[in-house]
Amino acid sequence: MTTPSKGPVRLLEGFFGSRDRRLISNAVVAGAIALVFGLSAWALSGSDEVGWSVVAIIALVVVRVPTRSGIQYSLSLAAVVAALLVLLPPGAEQDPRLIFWAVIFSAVGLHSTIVVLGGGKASRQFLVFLRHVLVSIVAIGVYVLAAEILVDVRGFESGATAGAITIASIVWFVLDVVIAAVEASVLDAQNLTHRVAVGLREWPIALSMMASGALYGLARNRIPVWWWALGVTLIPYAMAHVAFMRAHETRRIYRQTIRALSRIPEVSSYSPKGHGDRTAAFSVAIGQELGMRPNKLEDLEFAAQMHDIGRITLNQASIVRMGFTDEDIARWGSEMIGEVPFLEDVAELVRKQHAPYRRPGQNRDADLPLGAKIIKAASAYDHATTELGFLALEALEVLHRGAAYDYDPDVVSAIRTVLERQGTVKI
Amino acid sequence: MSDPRRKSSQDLGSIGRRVGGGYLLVGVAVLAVLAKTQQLPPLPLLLVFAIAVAVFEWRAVEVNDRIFMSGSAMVVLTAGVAFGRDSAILGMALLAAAGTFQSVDWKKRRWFQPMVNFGQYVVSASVAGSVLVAVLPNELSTSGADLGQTVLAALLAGLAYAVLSALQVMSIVRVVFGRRDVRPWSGMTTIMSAYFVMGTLGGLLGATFKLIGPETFPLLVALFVIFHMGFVSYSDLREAHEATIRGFIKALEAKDMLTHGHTERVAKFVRLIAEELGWSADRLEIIRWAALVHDVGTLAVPRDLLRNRDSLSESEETLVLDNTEMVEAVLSESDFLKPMMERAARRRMLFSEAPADQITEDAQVLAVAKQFDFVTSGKAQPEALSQDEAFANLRAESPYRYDPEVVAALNRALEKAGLQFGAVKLKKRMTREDVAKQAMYDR
Repeated sequence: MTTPSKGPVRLLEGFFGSRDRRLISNAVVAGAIALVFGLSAWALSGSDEVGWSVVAIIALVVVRVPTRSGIQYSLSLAAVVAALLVLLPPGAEQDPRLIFWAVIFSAVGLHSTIVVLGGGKASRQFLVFLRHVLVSIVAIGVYVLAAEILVDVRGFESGATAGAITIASIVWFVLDVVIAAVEASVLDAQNLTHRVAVGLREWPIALSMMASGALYGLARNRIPVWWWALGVTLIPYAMAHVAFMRAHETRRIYRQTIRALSRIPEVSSYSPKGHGDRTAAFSVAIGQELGMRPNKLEDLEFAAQMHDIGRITLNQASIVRMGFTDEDIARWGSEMIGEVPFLEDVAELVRKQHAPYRRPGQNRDADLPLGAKIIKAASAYDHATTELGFLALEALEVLHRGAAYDYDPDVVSAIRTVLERQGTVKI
Repeated sequence: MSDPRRKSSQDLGSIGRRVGGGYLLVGVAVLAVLAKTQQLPPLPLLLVFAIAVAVFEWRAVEVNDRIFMSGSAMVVLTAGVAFGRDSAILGMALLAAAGTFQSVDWKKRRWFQPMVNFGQYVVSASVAGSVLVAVLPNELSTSGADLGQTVLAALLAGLAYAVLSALQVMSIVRVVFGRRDVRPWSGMTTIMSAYFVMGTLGGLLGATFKLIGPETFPLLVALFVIFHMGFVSYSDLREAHEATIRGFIKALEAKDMLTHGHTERVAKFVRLIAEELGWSADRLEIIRWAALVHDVGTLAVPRDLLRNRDSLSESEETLVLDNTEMVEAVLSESDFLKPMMERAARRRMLFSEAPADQITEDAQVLAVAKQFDFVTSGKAQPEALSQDEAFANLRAESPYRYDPEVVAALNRALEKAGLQFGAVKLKKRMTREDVAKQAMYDR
């Protein structure tokens, strides 16, 4: 959003969603690797179709769509679907060698491209590689199987193709999400069900890729004009891609704005520095542990980030002189946030952040949202560990002691699980 | 389909109603003639496409400032090619008519817009359909020449559609809203290129559907829907983002922590100036944001210090500036707010000293808008100035402090819009000394 660049550069930036200078070098590297693998695939399999498919699959790894879940889908997915349809039209005599070569070369080529392009740990990259290979093989198997069965049962070609594509695509997508979630939960100490839920929310992106891939395959097989399939696939894909990129960019900016606003009281020294960031991160971890849904989790994150924003009011000397309670701060904050129609739920969480989960002689307050209870505990934990200088174990002890009225025991035990999983506390 | 001007029907009067009714009749007449001359396309197909168009139009997306777009033109052209020569024109006109209602109109209970939309869409679509039919090959085969001709036909039809809608919207705006609203199309290039792409794509998809068969249909629908979803989520986020900043500013003003109404008025002046200077919609949007956040830096300053600014000691003055800069530094960590904060900082620069670049230009617009609001709302001196006095004040300082062109643009824009700000009555004539005194105050 800084100085607007002109013409084609801007178009490219919009498409790739990145101003990264490395993009061009990445593209060159990917292209080179793709060419090497494509040529050898061609030579070994004796089929130029396989060669071209491998080139396309590997080269397209450069174009990626970032998603909310952090999984980056690359266009290769579309290319693989397309290649399948071109290589394995249902009902035709299939040469198993072709499938074999296509899979092996695509997978190995993809892997080496990812390793060359992306930084990160080699061991992690190897896992990504295994995931790709596994998912591709299963999906191809499902496609072949489904096509065979559908052709036998239904007896007509076009419906069978569509059915096989749909089934294989769903299997592909779900498998990819589940395996990625398992990977994240084992390696990054994240909650498994949460990761799966977040991953499944990205179905539109996956679906758009599958659809463009399928369209390419169909057009390529049936319409003998070479540019037709490309046009029919790439234009809609590019439009969808730009839409997702712009949405992603706006989401990023939106979060940055929320964060910047929440930091105004911090820099003006009305509230401790970094408290909002830390509380937000911790609250989200707790929310994941308690199995909150992704939408609710986003509200929780915003609310935790801004839970102290009411402290801006402290720049009025009269208010400071009059005296104020934590509840006032919460109320002022929620009044501010409540002015934004999109953030009503967030305002509600901020308003209730100081309510005890039950009062003496009463049952739990059933109306109190889970998010508010989480923010209360997370904020108290952060206060104890940073400002009071407590150890993590001592801070946890404080929360346990407050579990009678202030902190919901479920939340406290979730905090304990999170801390244990992160390795901060060993019990 | 795009519609740059959306106004409530209250202030339209009889001309608006007559134009609306006239368009409605024209639309019905065109449809009646087409129903006589053309064949009705297969109903199930028509129905599905019509639903797609209605959904797209209902949820038209604001691409940037005030330009609404939707993918319905793409669907209409796809359908046109898929229907074939005998029923393309009627089919396209019917589909376009399905997009009459938009959620904005419905929410605001506006009836003029849908009536005009109906007529305008039907006319545009039937002309585009005629272009399509004229260029479309007789029999669609899989030869390269035929396919090329099909794409060309759809592309030309798309452009015809865009040009015709643009002309109609412009003339309607001119007739109904009078002269002052005639320049709405700062984003014309964007729109034309969008229609170019949508036309091409419509041709490609329509022919693919016709050649391969119904199995492509779910794929096409999937692509349409996903494309739409992407843009809707983009536009929702954009709206949420704007609402967030706006809401915060409003809340802060309500708590008497920012000067009441100041930011909204400055944003309004900025928009007037930018429109008068003929800036692009993208640029206008950025500077409008800047106008909204430009004062947030003062939040870090204890309120009492700001109230009695005249009697500040030197150390207090530094505190005010330091704190303001601290908040601006935090805000500029956000990519989006960074340019705004730069503009806000440059605003304090004298015009004669500032480097000549785009940021300074924007900053100048902001500076003039802000100063104009200061003097007309009485924040800068004991009593508010009238509009003429305010301009005299601005002009007196203009070569050094403010860009004279920007000041002139604001003046012109306010005159054109017929708006009056500041004190209503001219209490006394401003003398040269008065103006000089005013300038002292402002510093």
